[in-house]
Amino acid sequence: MKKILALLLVALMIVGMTACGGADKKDPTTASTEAPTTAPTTKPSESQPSESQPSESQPAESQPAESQPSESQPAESQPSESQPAESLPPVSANTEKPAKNPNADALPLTIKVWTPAEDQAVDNNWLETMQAQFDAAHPEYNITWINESVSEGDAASMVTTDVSAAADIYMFANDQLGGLITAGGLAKQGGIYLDQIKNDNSQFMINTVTHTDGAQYAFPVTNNTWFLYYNKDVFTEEDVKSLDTMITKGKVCIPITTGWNAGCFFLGCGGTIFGEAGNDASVGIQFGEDHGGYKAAKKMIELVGNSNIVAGGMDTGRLIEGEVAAVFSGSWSAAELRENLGDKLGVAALPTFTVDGETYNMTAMSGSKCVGVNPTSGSVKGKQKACTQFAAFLASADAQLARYAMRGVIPAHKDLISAVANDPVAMAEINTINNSAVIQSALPQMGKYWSPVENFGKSVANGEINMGNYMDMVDQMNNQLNAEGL
Amino acid sequence: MSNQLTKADGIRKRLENSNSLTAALLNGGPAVWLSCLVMGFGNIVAGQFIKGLMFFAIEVGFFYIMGTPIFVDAPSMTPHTGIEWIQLLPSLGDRVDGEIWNEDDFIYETVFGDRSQQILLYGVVFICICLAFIVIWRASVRSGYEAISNRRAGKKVLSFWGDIKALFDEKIHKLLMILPFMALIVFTVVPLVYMICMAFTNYSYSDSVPSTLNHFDWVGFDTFKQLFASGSALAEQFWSVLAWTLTWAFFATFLNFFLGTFVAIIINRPTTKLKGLWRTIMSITIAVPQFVSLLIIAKMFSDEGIIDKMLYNYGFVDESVRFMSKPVNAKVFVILINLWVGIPYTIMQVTGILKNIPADLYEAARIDGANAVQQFMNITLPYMIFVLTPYIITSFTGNINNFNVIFLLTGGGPPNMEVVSSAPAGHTDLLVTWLYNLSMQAQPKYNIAAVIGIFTFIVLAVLSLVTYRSSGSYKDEEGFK
Amino acid sequence: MAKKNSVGSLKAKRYTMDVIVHTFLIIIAIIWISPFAYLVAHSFRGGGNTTMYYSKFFPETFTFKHYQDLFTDKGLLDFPQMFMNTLKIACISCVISTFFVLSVSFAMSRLKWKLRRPYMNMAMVITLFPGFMSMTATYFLLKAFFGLDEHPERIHMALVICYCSGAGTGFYVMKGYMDTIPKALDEAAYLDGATKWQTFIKITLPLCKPMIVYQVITSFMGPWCDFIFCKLICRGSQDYYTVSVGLWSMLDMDKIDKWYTRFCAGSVMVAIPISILFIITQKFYQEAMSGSVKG
Repeated sequence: MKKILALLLVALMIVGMTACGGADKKDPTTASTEAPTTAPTTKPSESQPSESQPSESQPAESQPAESQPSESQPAESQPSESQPAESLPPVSANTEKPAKNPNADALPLTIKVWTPAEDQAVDNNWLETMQAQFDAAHPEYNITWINESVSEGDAASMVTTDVSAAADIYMFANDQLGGLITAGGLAKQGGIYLDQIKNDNSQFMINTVTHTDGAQYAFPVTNNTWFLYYNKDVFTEEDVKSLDTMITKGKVCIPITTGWNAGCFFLGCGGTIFGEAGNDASVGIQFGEDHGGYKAAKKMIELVGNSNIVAGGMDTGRLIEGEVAAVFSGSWSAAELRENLGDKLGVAALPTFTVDGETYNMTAMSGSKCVGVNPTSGSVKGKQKACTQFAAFLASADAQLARYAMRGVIPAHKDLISAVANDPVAMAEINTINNSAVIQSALPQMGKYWSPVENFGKSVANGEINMGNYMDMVDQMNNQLNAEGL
Repeated sequence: MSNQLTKADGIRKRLENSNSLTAALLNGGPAVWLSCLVMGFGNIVAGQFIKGLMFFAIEVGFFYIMGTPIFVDAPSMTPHTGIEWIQLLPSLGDRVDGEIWNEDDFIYETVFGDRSQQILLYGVVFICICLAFIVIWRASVRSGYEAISNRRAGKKVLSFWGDIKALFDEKIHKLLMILPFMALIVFTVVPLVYMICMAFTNYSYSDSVPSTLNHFDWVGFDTFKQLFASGSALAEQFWSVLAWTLTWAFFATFLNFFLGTFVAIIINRPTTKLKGLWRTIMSITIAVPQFVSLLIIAKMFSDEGIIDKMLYNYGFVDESVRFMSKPVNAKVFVILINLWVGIPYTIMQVTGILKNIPADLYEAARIDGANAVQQFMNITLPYMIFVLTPYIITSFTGNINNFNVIFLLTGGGPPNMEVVSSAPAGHTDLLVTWLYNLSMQAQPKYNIAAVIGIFTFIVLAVLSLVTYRSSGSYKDEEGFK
Repeated sequence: MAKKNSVGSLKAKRYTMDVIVHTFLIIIAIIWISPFAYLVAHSFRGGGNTTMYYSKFFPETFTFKHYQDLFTDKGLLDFPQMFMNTLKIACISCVISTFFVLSVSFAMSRLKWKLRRPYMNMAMVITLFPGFMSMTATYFLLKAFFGLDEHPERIHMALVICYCSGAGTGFYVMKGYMDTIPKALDEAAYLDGATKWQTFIKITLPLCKPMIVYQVITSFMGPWCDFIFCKLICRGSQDYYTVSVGLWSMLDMDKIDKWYTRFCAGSVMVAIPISILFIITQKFYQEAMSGSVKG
């Protein structure tokens, strides 16, 4: 027994040591990518392409660009899976640069980028493709890219913990804007970059990146909202326009137990969050009686009492399991649902609901996911400019379209609507943003929003709030939403 | 008179024999005095070249880092010397950030000022380096004195090799302690000091310009006042979290102990079959990493999870239970799940002790006609409590800081609706999870977190002082000398 | 006759008691095992539904796909790499911290020196502070010490140091055990001319074997369970993640629908080796835990 144990431990040690050795051998290569002279790839790609390759990889590099004019993107099939092999060449293509560009004047820079891991998938690397294009377009730089994956949700807290060690360019969800600016983690945009933000985006999207001082701090790259997925066998396209029609025909899961969604009825009935543009703290959050709060609460209670309503969150699994025929969720669920439901899957913007004879639209709190520049990049001369240029490049129409083609991320650019017109998911998202959405405020005071609203939704769902007490509870929630203290 | 003389004599004698710093300075002579300035000089004079050179190298190194700007204030890239870092400590930096519009490049460039956080950190680090240097300096003077007086007395001066050999014998404690001690000081004590300092600043997220995240100041006990002042929302929040923390620790500890003992006794019954199997099954919760087992339980018991759904489908409940989204449910739930985690530990502890209880006690009880329950209440339990008091105390303090169970199961939720403060906490948040959330969220409140940490320390210190002082093992320890 | 009856009823009573006890134990065992049964079952879940939401306790169809994906689909999260990272860190840090703990306990239990008592008090005070209080500071120090910004390849070194630095305070159990070893053994060794180092290595260590095994196991398990410090120190450098951080990130809102079953598979992959190791060494563990309490 003891011998076995000893042997086991020794074996473990050996494995550990060899793992160690293996990593050590690899480390120099990883480290060498930081040296300005080496190829600007981030992953030490096994096949260092020889100089003769550029001609071969050239067409491949322009491949995403070529696909742009064709507006008939295969929207139904998940684009990311349809072209795994072909999308590799662009990655290696960018290693051609040192050979082509022995430009001694080129400014050597090391730029760290944080994007979600999906943008850097090995076989479908949007980020590196974009970097290759950017390198080609900017021979004045000799950039060593360090790409790391940090999701949009994590970015803010990681930047705030240590701004100067954070990425120079990173993607984040717009509700973190205020916090990031206060922490000194986000550079203000001006001049041609400001023009780009203003020209490329709808007013709604511009508002999502506007701080209380009226300035814009980031480039929106995609919408962030939620909408309706349904089973076409149960509902018709006509049915899904109204929630009340839907519940006469099949089961619907309404998302009222998560803070992000639970306010949808209040917002629909006229509730506001920090004013129209979502950045006026003095107005506060208005979910009270004079903003239709009672009606919304009444409708929620009424719905929960209906046997065709399941009160939950964004439970896509319920739709897959067939327990309900419609759920609400965001574009990230599209691939999963399509895989399971196939042609039966329908997508639509948020439906209307009727209360006291009046019809309102369910309204989603929506925002954007955007790319921003860390001002600490300015501590190296010329770096902040390059970073801002690259951030603007990532938010450009071409880049957004390439991202849509590779990952299915729906572009925020207002001119790209026609390009995604055949994609029901994209249209549902865009219609929701345009017709039934309010801005997810980036004010720090937004922190007060989540708990009261989520709790209200949960209390309705479990029957603690009912027809008898809802008026008091709405008042109480409204008070909490506007209570003193940050 | 003569009495006094002998006393003075005695002191002098003791000074001569000892190698304390004062003795060294009084009796050392010029070589030792010089080695106060040039560390290691005494050793070199006495022939200990390597040791002397090592002391000298330490001195050179110290003055190098104190006088050379090697650590850089990150965004502004201003290098500071060690002395400068310490000098900046009282003000925590005055230069604030500025913004310049660069017309050519279309960018807003930031002119970076000081970062208080770095000043505090490096200030604390360099103060610690100074303290460490003083300790080494003292050691070097003494060592030089010792070597010189040995040489004077004609005794053998230890060679470097001899020193090394001594490290493996009579001075082995130095060899054994040096690495663990260094690691402890550098990566535990220094960070702790830094965090304690933070409690006396206004280092937290706020709307003020310039941001208190980058430029904070010393504020004395303001944060403490905020947290403990009666009437403020923050104080209300704090006391409610504290109350729950203590309640939780109480139930988690004692339920675990009693039920664990109960199960252990059942398994230990003479006629119970497959004793090993039962114990192994139970100990699976120790074997599987908590973050796996607790995360999976959290998913199983969530509102959309399998358990709630099965209870509903099989008609045990009329509406879903919502284990984790109702305050009372969540509290009961975490305590119950903690039983699942904790009982196996108790079983492990208790099994050995059960065997140690003298069998004749039971024999006597049986003759007196005591039944199983009476035997348990009158023999087993008192004996266990007697032996396991230290264990119970440790597990109580452990439960106060039981981060994993709460964080992985409920994440502190459900949110507390009644109190709206600038540092929100949920219904099941313990002090430690609250502290974690406050320092890891996107709008961090480091100063409040630090005060919570200090308070937790005080609670635990009082608890352990009271109990350890009276516990057997402490008294044993006293007897060690 | 009456006597025989009472013996019979006693037997019957004992028999019913046995039945009750065993039923109780079986119920308890089921409760204890069911989460793991659920975990394992869903790591093999067939069909297209990979979300957390599933209407049955046991899936209807089974597949190896999730394990396959876990080890082959490395595009987003490289699980094999994370596994090796963790193994490496765990092996190194368990050796170092076991050595640290042994050294400190020996110095505390067997040696007399001036600062022994102050050190013990200091260690006690330190353990009373919540560990997370200093985590950001530890991060900044490690960053400055190792230059993690420029040298991400040193992250693992930093993690090892981080996991070992607690060893200086975690000596109480080991010290308690060493205290029970008779001093006469040491003195006999000294009389034979052994140095203290030799006594430490040749006398004390062999006698502490169960405790050493316990210590090795606990410090080996540390890195597998830590998802806080590793995330804090690695930040975005995914190449250096350990399994717990990787598994944790599979439960992100935008990943969980696709990754939940893979999370189960990954958890099983982590749980199995550690459980086996634990079950093999359970005897020592048991001995150590009850040995640490002076009965």
